[in-house]
Amino acid sequence: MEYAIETIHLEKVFKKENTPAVKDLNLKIKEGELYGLLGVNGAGKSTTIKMLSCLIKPTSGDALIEGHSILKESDAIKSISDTSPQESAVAANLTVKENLLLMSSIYGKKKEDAKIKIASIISSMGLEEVASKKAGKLSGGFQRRLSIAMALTSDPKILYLDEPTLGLDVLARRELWKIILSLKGKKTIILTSHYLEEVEALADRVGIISKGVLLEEGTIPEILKKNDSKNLEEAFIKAVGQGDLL
Amino acid sequence: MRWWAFTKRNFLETIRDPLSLLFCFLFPMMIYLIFQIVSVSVAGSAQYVPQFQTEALFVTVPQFAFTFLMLFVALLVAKDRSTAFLTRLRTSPMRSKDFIVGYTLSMIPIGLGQILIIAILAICFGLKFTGWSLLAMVMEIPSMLMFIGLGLLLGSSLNDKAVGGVSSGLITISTFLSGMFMQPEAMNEGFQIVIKVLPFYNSNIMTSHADYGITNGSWVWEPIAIVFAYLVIFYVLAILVFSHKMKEDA
Repeated sequence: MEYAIETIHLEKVFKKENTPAVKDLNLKIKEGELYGLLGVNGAGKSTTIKMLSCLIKPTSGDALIEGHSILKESDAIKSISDTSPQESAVAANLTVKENLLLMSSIYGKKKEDAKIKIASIISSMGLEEVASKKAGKLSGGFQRRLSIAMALTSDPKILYLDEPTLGLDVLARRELWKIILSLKGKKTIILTSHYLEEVEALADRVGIISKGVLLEEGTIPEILKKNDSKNLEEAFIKAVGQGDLL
Repeated sequence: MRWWAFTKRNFLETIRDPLSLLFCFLFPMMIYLIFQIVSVSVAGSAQYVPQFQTEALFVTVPQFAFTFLMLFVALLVAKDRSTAFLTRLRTSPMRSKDFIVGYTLSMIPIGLGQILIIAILAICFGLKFTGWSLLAMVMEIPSMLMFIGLGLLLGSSLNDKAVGGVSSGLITISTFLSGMFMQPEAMNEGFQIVIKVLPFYNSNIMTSHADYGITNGSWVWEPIAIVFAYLVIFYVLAILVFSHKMKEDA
């Protein structure tokens, strides 16, 4: 198995829309790589994540996650991957610890093992001071941290972070970046974002997606060189065909 | 045991909401006490109201309490559907049956608590607790499940903004049609047919029958069949709609 994630002509057309939300997507992501999927709102980033996490079925094409097909082996994929959705996905009336324990139980972890794992996650995610607080009472930054922590309790090989810092203030965003950077190399991560500086700071490789089509991909220096640009913002604008805005 | 983990979450999520405790326990207790006081104050007079007697309230008030169970399960499901929490769980190994079982089981301890509290109140007001009373309490369970099933169906079908209003309307209608306030004989023939076709009056009759109807020496199967039929219908529809909406909401 050469790639942790490989999409093969992956496509999604929603019933009520004529144009594809994702069109002929061919990604190849290596084990331990942090891949940034960059695009404006409605570009097809979240739809891609939903297909890869077996939440929705593609209209055509396939994807292999650790060698498992999203069309035929959704159970196997769900047991090795986890997602932190765009909004904070927490149980509001449960404490931070209870939320983490809930996810461990759902993934069938033994209680004793789960307790050790949860203690370690709480520490590494900086959640000690709020561990006994109800999730609904936490600030947006802590809720997002908890949301990612919940995705880590199952110790997934593949982690999808869908717009992880959306709506957060600059300090909370930087805190979360540190946490995401600490996961680099340990998990294969797809991170979607429309914040250019975020992708620039975190990703090993970047894919630029617009109107469901992957326009370009590569490392940041490769993308800058290809678009003859000084920074990622300029390269992104050129890549999505809006060069007249410069 | 994914369903068990989800059951615990739903139970905690519900009982930690002060409103659920107020509506599921305090409100039915207040209704019981008000009716009991009315009953005591008109005892022996021409305004005697049979449905406000201790024996009647012992079986009808839990039915009224279950309507709030329906409301809270409907709110929980609809709220979960509107947030990313359910999306996250759908990317986990959870299956549709884990969700339905988890929502249902989490409400059962609350429903049993409602039955028990009303029984204690009834005993305090002079109910002679016999084996038949215990049977009546057991016969409340299918009605409780039926109302949970109806709540699941509402929560799966409606969004979180609409579900509160629709459920509240249904609480009023089901209470009115349950025979709790008014005997069906006091209504016209058309109304009587509607009442007897719907499950709410039948669930009251089913438990009343266990409580003191058996002394007549016969057992009426019709209300039991009707309640069980609605229980099955509500659950089948809830499972179908929930599964469909899960795909649609993704």
